[in-house]
Amino acid sequence: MASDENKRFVVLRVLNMPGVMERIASIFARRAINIDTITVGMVNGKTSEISLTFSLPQEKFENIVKVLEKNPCVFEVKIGSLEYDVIREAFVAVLKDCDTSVSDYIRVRYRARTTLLSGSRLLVELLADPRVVDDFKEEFKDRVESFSRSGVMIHTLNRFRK
Amino acid sequence: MVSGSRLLVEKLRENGVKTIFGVPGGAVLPFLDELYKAGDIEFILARHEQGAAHMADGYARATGRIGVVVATSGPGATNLATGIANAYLDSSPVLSIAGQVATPLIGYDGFQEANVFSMMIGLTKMNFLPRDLNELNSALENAFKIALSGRPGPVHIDVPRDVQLMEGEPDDDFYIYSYTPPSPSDEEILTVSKMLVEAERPVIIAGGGVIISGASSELIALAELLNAPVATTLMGKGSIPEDHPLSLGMVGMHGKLGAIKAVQESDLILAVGMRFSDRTTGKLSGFAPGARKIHVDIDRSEIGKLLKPDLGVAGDAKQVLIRIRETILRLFKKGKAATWGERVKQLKKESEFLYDYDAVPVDPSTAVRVLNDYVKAEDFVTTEVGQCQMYASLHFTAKRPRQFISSGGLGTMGFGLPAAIGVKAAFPESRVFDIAGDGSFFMTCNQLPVSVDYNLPIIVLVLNNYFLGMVRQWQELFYGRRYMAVDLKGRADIARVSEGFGAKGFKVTRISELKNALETALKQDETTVLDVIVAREDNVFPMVPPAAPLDRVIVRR
Ligand SMILES: Cc1ncc(C[n+]2csc(CCOP(=O)(O)OP(=O)(O)O)c2C)c(N)n1
Ligand SMILES: [Mg+2]
Repeated sequence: MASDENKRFVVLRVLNMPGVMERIASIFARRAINIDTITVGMVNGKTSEISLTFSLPQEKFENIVKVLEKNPCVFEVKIGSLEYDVIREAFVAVLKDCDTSVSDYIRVRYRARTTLLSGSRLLVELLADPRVVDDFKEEFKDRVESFSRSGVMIHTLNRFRK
Repeated sequence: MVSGSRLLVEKLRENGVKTIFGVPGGAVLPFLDELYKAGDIEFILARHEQGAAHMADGYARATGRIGVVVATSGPGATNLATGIANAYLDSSPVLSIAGQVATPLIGYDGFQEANVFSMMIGLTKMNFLPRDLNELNSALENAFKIALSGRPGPVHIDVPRDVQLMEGEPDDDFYIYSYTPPSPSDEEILTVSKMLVEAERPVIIAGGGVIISGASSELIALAELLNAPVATTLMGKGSIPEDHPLSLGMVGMHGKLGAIKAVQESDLILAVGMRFSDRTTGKLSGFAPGARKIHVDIDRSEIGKLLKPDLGVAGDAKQVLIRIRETILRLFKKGKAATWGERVKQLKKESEFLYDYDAVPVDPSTAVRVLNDYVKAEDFVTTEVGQCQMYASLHFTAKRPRQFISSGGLGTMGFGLPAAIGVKAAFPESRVFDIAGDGSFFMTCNQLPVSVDYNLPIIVLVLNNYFLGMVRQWQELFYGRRYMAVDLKGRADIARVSEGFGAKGFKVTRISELKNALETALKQDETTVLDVIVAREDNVFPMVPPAAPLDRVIVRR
């Protein structure tokens, strides 16, 4: 397991063009770096934003940032951190053996949206720090019947950066 | 109204392209027809796309301008791969254009469709697959800029057949690649200058970046100001004339002894436009162990990639060298000259070779030494890969930048012959020599007719040891002389093969014959192949064993 200090959060502003994902992915693949999460959103017709998380020691991380920066289809590379930036993941799960008290607890404790389904099932929709998502999964590991997570979205708060 | 093909031709013209190399096919027919109508761009028809790419690459390296190669879709484009990868690793500005099946068929296994887009991602600085006129316009507009700016490199465009035929008015509302070279602060330049002036035993290592940046005279000026010797990488060969008193020659696995020792003894390395390849540094932890290191490169991602320098300076070699020199002159008057001039002289003396002009079979080092006398400053030398390349690098004295053209990063056998044709196409008045091995010769000798047909005479000097000599050398030194799959037997007669291709062929068995053959070849000015039978089991020395530090250099010869 890679240690937490090696966990990286990177946002790329890229050209919105077919093949750009493959180009970015191949930079990681050729260095045998596993991408933990990847999400893409459109900024406008010409630009997209890719949020990536992966683990990498500092030295190699510095190099890959420069490699990404010099790629002609990358406009900007922003580095996010759990302390200063808004890092969120969407999480949807169906829990079994739930009643209104569990539902209320989850709503308050996790600020999640909950919907009771038939057969004491509970639909949970959560938008949270990925660590909180992990906590939730751990806390309800005996009840989670199925779940999906979106991968991490990173919004850097530039005012904290120089 | 303009068609895609017409747009291609216009953009090539706009960018000053007069010659392209390639092999046609169904997927580029509309483009070829437009070239026919245009009539002012010469198409040099190669015999294989790999060679065509090497020609464009040779053209680009000799001129510093873009080299253009054209291939058809599928097998034409996949044949380009080696040539494009070769250009990428040596930062050579090649534009390669391939046809592709019509857009509706892409991804549906149309005839001669291959996923060239994905293949090229890892082999180019950038590649494009335009699906309409606007995208084609944008791709072309950007391709030249990307290939030539900063650290140059190849750009590939797949042009689907229907896009070549589309008619319309492309708009100019597209993404334009913009690039500003990094420029170090005055403070950084001051720090470098101080470190250089304070050093007692400085060595400058010049890489291909110095040549690309056109920084040769700035390099020499700084070296002379500091009295600092200059070693080069293979790609940097010629950045300082190798007969200059401060030139040490190449450093690395088959570097000159003087260069290796000077680097190892130095207290400061100024590395400019080079990337600390393992072939240059040996085991990195044992590289110039007592030296502080300054790394200057235009590509930020090269700084700290392998070696962690004491100071990294991102910038263009020429600008940085000018500013360092000016700063030293302004602040330190003269710049205390390095104290180790005598030691450097002695090291250079130690690395001098003894040549044997009488040996039969011919001593390959001596053959290159003899060739030296026939290469004028305006001439060019390309090389193949193997022992032949290292003999060339050790014994050919490069007089200027871009004169010595060799496959460094990829080490591609078969590069030298087509590259020489590309060079000759750019400089018809210069003479172009390819220093080859027999193994490499057979990789691309099928391009000899191109040299003949287009009246682009080159002289190929094959150092024929009937072996894949470099591989044999490793097997001899590191695998107990267990020769496996390296014997080329020598039954194919290179001189006669060459004659069959329409060139002149001479078999040469002693140095005196070599001189005669060279003189005849130069007088006749026809494509000529000299099959020089050399000592079969000669080894290239000095040699630093793979993964060993430079100090472990073996000098036996
Ligand atoms: C395309 C390619 N295939 C294989 C190699 C591996 N290789 C490196 S040197 C060499 C032998 C070269 O033989 P030759 O051209 O005869 O030169 P020599 O070493 O004998 O002078 C080989 C096979 C290579 N560099 N390039
Ligand atoms: Mg050989």
